[in-house]
Amino acid sequence: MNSASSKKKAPSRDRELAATADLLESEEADRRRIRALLRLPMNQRTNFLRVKVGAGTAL
Amino acid sequence: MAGCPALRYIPFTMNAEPLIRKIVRAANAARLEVIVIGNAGAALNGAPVTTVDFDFFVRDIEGSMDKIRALAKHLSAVVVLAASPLSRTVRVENEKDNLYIDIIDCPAGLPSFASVRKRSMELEFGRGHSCVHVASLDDIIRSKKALGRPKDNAVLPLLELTLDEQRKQQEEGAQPRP
Repeated sequence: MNSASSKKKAPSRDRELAATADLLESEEADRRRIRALLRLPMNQRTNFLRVKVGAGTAL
Repeated sequence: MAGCPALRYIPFTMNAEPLIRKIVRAANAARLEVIVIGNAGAALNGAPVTTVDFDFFVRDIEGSMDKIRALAKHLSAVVVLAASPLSRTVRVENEKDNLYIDIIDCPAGLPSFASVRKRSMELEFGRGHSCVHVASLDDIIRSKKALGRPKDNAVLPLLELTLDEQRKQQEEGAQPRP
C-alpha cells in the first residue's frame, strides 16, 4: 500500500518541482528585463506604447 | 456599439518618446500641471509593462477645464467628458495620432496631489526643455491595488518585482564601495 502511494506521489512531486523551477526561471527572466530597463535613464524607458488600429486599417 | 469601428492592438510596442515630448510640451504650454500615473508611469519607472494610453493625475478637473481644453487644442485633440456625472475622469484623444490621455483628479488609492508630487520624479526631455512629474512606483502600485480590476491585478507581480529591483539598486548605490 505504502509503495503504491509513494509511486503515485512521485510524479506529482516531480511536476510540482518542475512547475516551481519554471516559475523561478520566469521570475528571473523578468528580473533581468527589469534590471536592463533600470540601467537606462528614465527618458529612454519609452518603448511601451501599444497602438490601437481601427478595423480595416492597413498595417 | 453599432457604427463604432472595432479597435484592435498591434501586438508590438512603439517608442512613446515623440508622443510624450509632444504631450509634455502641450501640457507646459497650457500651464497644466500633471503627474504621470498608471502603466505609462510604471514603464517610465522601469517596469516591463505596456499601455495604449496615458493617465494623468491633476489637482482638480473642474478648476482645470480651461487648461485641459488648451492642452487638447495644442494636440489637435478632442475633450471627451465621461458619461457619468460622478466620474472624475476626462479623456483627451486624437485617434489619428494614436493619442489617448485620461485625466483624473481623484485616482483610487492615492492621497493628495501634493503628496504624490512630493514622492514623484521629474522627467526631463532635453536640457531646459519639457519636463513632467512621474509618480513613484509605490504610489502606482497603491493605486492599482485600490482599483483591483483584473487588468490592474495582472500587472501587479511585475510592478512588485520592479520595486524590489529598484530598492536593491538603491541599497547597492548607498553602500560604500570596497
